[in-house]
Amino acid sequence: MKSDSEIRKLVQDAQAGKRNAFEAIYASFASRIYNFLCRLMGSPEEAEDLTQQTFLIALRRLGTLRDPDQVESWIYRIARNEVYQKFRRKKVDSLDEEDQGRKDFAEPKETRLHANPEKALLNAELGEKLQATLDALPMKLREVFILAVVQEMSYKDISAIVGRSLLSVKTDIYRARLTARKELGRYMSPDRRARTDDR
Amino acid sequence: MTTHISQEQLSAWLDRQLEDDAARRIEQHLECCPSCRAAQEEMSALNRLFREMRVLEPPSYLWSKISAGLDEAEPVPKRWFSKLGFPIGRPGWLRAEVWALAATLVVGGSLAVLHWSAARTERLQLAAIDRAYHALLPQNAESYNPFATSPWNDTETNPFTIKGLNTSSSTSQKSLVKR
Repeated sequence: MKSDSEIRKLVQDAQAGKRNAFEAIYASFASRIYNFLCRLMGSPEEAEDLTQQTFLIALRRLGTLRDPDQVESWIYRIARNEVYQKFRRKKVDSLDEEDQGRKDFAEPKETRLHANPEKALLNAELGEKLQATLDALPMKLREVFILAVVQEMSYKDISAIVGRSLLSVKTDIYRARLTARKELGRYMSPDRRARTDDR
Repeated sequence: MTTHISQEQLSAWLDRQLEDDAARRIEQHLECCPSCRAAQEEMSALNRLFREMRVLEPPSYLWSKISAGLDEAEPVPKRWFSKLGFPIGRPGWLRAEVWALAATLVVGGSLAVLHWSAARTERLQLAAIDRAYHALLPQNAESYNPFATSPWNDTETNPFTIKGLNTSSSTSQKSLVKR
């Protein structure tokens, strides 16, 4: 992960038209954006399309970004807008297709052989259950929950990305936690529970 | 430390989003409150589950696709009026043309309304004058018109005609007038 000053320099270089800076910006944020979209959409294929679209828009319009320090939040905002636009288009097309897309989702297969096949199977099952829990959350809760819990982003950054107040973000994350806890009760065995000092 | 921590506050504490003082108060409370600690442990377990989710890597070919896309011209978003077949290309021109059309319509429309309004006012004023003029005239005004050219011997229009007299007397009347 690059430092803030390195990112700032990259953005300034890209704004000056240096093509290699574009690739460096993509390399810095692609993984986080792709994961965010994957968890939000529940489909790696859709996440791939949306990541491509997000970076195309971001890199084309980088000249309009006033504060280079805000580049990450800005790219996340673009990604989120693309997701909402896709949902709107889907709604127009067919609601059934969206459901079908969800059903098609499966955690990408592990490429390396796992030392313990039973554990691998359990992990795959858990992975699918976690994704199903995310999918079941309303979009408003799902997006802030993924950003806060999966991506460990600050509430301030989340508030800037989703365009809602800090208080609203805090409440929505809590509500998402409540819902997820109900869904995943049986997976939260005592050995998974952390000590008081471990969050 | 009798009051329990609100679940919402605990959730924010888990995400390390509280100020130092608030975080310290929660930590002190957790040390001596088993029920809040149980709630915290459940939330922590949930966090761990989601943070253990595998990090997915974008496909390696994705940058090549994006790079190729950057070389192409940015597609112009379709607007509603493009469906009407307006020969409009770039968004800048598009906006300029739409504004020019709107300005022409507004100015032209305003001038037309002003013109129509002035003509109507003039017509109304003339009609009012005409009505006032006719209202001032006595009934059957034409028969009292001093400029009327009707001859005196016209017994129908002459107010001095005494009905029933022989028309031959009109000569003596004329002579009276002359005097």
